[in-house]
Amino acid sequence: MDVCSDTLEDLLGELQRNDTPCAVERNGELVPWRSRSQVRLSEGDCIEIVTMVGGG
Amino acid sequence: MARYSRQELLPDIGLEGQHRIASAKVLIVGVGALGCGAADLLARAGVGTLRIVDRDVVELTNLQRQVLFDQADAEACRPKALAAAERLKEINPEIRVEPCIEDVRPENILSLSNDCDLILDGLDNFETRYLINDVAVKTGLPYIYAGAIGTEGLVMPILPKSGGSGSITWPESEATPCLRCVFPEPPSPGSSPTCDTAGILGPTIGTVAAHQSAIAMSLLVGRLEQTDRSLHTMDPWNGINRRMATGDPRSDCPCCEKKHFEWLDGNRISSTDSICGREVVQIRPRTDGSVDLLALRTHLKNAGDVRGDTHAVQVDIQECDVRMTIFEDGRALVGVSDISLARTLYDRYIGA
Ligand SMILES: [Zn+2]
Repeated sequence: MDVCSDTLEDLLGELQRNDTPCAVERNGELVPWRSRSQVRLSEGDCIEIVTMVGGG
Repeated sequence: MARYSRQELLPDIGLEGQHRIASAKVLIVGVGALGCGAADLLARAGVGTLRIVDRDVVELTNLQRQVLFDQADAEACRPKALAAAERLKEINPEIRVEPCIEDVRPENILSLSNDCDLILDGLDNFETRYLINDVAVKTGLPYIYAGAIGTEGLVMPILPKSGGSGSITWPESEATPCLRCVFPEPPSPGSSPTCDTAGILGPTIGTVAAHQSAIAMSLLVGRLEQTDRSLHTMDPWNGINRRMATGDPRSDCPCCEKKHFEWLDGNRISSTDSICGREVVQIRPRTDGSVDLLALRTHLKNAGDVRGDTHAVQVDIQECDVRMTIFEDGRALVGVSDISLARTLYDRYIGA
């Protein structure tokens, strides 16, 4: 997927995932919440986003 | 015992594992879809005592996925905890089942979890999950978080840093992140879909309930190191089954590191709801931030006629003929006279 964001935090905003609690994995590693604004995205990064689910 | 012979044949369980399962006491919080599925499997597996807690009654819309209930339960509006307990005793009369018709609150959760070995998540809202996470971390009980919506479900076992207080113990090196390590804050009320607004697929419930039950049994027989402790996403409808390794507990976690139990201390739990006027109950959440009324409007369209603007949204909920008005600050007026029913409807449609 082509995105224009530089950081993980911007990416979540771009994908409109900023408001819901989600866990983000970058290249197989969970990125702590507070580091999201510092993590710079590179070409070919593999990003997984898991949104917390409340039903059941 | 013949009843358990096929699972005793499994090398990981055997006679010793079966004894451990038989002497275990598991707390199942909520017997909706996930709670039913898990209780069914654990009762058949011979878990010695199942304590099941639920505040709701069986409705016709539950039967598509809540495997312990039938038509007669729905027609009689039977409390879920009671209907489930009766069914479980029919399935396996050798085990003990303790039904509790209660709303899980900071005031009663510690006595409910007291003397249990493990807590299993059958909940339908975020707030109570953060309360359970506080309890797990404070008391050192393993908590298996699970949730499902649409066609997707999540499971994540939590082995808090506090190391284990029941029959299941672990060294700190085996501890996992807690719910707040991974999801520090719950979503604000209304910003997230619920099963009543977004729907839920029966087979997804089966998949998630089976996964959380397998983890519970694995922990109960003492397979601590081999138990899958990742954040697991599953979606049988789309053939998705993914694991996310969650690593170690966060060094800045407000709950498992700093021991701030905000839900258990009552600071983040909806304050006492009040009857205001005739046939209207006010529900006041204590979650910070405002409700995204625009998103809420979209979710509520499946529930009934919706009207309103950016300050308040009103919905006439079709299935129960109740009017609910939701304000920007998360407060809601529910057109019923019973406080606990109002709370149930609030959680169901606003999803706090
Ligand atoms: Zn934590």
